[in-house]
Amino acid sequence: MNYQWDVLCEEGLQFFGKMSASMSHEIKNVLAVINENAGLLQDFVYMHEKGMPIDTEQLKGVSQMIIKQVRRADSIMKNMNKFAHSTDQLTKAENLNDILDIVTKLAARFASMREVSLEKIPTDEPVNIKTNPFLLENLIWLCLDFAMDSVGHGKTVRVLAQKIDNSAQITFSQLDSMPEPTEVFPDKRSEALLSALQAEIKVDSQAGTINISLPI
Amino acid sequence: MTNAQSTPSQIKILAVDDELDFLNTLSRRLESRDFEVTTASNGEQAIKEAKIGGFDVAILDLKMPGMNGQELLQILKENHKFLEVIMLTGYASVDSAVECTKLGAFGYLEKPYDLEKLLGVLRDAYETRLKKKFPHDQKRMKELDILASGDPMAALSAMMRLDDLEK
Repeated sequence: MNYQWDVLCEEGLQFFGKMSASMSHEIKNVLAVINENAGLLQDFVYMHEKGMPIDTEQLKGVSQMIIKQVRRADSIMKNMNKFAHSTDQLTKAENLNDILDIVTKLAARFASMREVSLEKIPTDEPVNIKTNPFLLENLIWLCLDFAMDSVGHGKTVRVLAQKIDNSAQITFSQLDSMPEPTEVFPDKRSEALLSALQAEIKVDSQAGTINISLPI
Repeated sequence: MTNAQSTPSQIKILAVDDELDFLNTLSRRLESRDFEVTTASNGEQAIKEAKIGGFDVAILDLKMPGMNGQELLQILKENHKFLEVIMLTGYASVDSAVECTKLGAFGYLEKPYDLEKLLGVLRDAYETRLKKKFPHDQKRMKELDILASGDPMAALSAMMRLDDLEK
């Protein structure tokens, strides 16, 4: 075991834990809404038993709310499942857009807490790469985490995946208030991930961008 | 709807949560039990409402965008010393419960909860508020009586003591 491996393991576990905790927290929020609405249905039944007529419009509203929350939970669980399966294989052929999609969805709650918006720019062409999906997700998260901290609340971080020549590129942009590259970023965790993925990073504080270049 | 009779009428509640679907349903259920509920979806809005307010109890979500529940708790307790605060959280931990208690929270509940449990904590919080506030209100009445007595020196001292009481 070498130093880089230790860093990757430690960072990977922290990343997995952080994302799992965030998703389970969101599920708890969904359960809380469903719980309140189930309680509201009980209230309607109680009032009906006391002689009050049942208002079908109110019942419709509650059932629609429950359906909405079940869909929300289903979407969270799908992301959680995709994320968990990204550890299945060390190397896998993937569309980079799909990986970006998962990480931006996982990061949405962190963005919301910091009052930052994330915008993944859609592209028509798939960006196919062979990579370690989990390590790449981890690296994208570290970039997003740094980007969200840099821009401050009320701002939007844009993310784009594209194929340029013989490499796949991820661009994080609109990072206008990003500080000059310092020892803070890329840190030792990002460096270890970049090295393991054979990727390169370019932090341009003037342009307000971070570019990651990955082998196809 | 059980326990509706034992719920003190028109207890004023400030409910704060960024999860609007949760907040609106909770508010509706409490209102149907004779509580007077004002809602806020973030800390800044809650502080504004509290200034207007005269609330008896605040119910705060712990994790919110921007100002979190703990920060809001601290500000509310500093500015409204008789306001009792109940914290709600998706994931309760010993650390955050201890921290919230240190900051003056009356109760700490994990979501999703049984409404009866929340109603119980709300009633206890309200009773505690009354117990704390009653001696203060009595002192205040006494000073107001002195103020109205017509003795200018006594009135001056009473005004100063009233100022202290309002702090």
